[in-house]
Amino acid sequence: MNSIIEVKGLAKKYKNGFQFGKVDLSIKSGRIVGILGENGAGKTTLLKCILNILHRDSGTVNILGKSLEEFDSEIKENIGLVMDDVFLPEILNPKEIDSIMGNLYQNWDSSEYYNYLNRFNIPLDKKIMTLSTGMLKKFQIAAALSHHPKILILDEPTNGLDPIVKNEVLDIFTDFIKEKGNTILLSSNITSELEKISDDIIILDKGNIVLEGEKDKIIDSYGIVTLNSKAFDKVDKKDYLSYVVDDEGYHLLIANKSNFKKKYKNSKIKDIDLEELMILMVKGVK
Amino acid sequence: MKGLLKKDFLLLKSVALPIIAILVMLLVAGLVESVEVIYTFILWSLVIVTAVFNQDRFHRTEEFITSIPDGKIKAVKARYAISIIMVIVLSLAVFAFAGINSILHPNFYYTYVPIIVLITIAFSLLGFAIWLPITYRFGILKTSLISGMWSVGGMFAILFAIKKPIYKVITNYTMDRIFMGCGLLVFATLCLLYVSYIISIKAYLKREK
Repeated sequence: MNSIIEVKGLAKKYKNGFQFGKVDLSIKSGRIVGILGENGAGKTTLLKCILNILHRDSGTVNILGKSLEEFDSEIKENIGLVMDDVFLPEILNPKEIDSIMGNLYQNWDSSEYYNYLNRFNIPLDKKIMTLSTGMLKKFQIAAALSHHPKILILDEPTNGLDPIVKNEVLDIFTDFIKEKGNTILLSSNITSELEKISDDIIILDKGNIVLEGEKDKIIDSYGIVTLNSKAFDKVDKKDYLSYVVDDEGYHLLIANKSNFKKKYKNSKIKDIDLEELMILMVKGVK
Repeated sequence: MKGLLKKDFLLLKSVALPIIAILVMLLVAGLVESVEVIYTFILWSLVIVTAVFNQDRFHRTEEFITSIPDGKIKAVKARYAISIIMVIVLSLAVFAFAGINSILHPNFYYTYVPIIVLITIAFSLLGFAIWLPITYRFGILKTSLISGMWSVGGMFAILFAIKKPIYKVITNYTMDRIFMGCGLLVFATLCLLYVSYIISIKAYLKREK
């Protein structure tokens, strides 16, 4: 499978001290890749650095096999973007946006755009700034999809949506990925959502990738073992990735359930979900 | 570029009333009080383009610009295009205003009209050539705060300082020479505007937003 987004040695340092470590990333075509991380972990920064909205201090980004610096126009024609703070001119209405976008994207499809607006019940003559959070998000999704992009980059795309619309939007993403070669890169705090639709996951912590891989393989392989302090002392540090302690005891994150089971025969290993995985990767004691 | 130019005009539409009000005030002041008000028209075109920059900042569209294909280059092109359009509108307004003044005021000869139009075009272009790259380098907020008031004041000072030499030139030289001089001035400022456009693109591409 070809890499559709290839990031090498991406680094970014802010004046406030936040630092993006050297990030290497390879996103395969035809996948839904979910980026997880707590607030401030660098999810939006990573997406913006990939798109050159924020300047990188170092590193290279190739999208669709081409450098973004050299082929900005060609690459961005193929990217649909939904971001909280990347606003379409909010004083305008969806009708006016259509006439603007039609001149900005070669592949802009007005009928597709109006279909989405109709489907999402978005009024044509209402200023964008007067739309509710959910409406605004749906409008952004409609605009992002209407120039037939190959890649969708979505930052918290379902924030503010009610469960019905959320499901509808997730279905749209699933339909989008069915078309050959289409790829989605999305960040979210909602782990259940990523668990539902993503093929691969990336967990970010303080600007560094702490885990990446195929979601199903990770879920199959990783697990949690809960031990009391006496049993915990007997476990070799190499056999777990991190742990958290609470009233129930020590919760250990293990990377390979079968290996652990072989070594500690009496241990009870629990399956893990993305939320537990993220908490243990980010907040756990290493 | 067409899309962003359209966006700029749609944004301008939302602040059309105050812009027209300023123009009407200038016209009335010029007709009733002093013909020198004509020079402040130069600032009017700068005010309009500043309004577009401010609208972009206010409605947070700068990141949107960076997210579209060749967005920053298209945005600079559109902004220079709107500046030139504003200079054309301005020159028509000055032409009409100076023409009316030449009818109303006997000491204001109609031969002055094209000269004044050419001078206002040259100075407007010069204003944009200086002001746009600074704005693209530092952003509209910093530019307005740091240099805005000074440059407006400075522009007035320059305009009133050159007023006498202009009339001196008008009275001492033949009309052919004056027209040629003014034409050259416009050509020089157009060249300067092109250089300014190249600098603006480089400055904007370097800037993060």
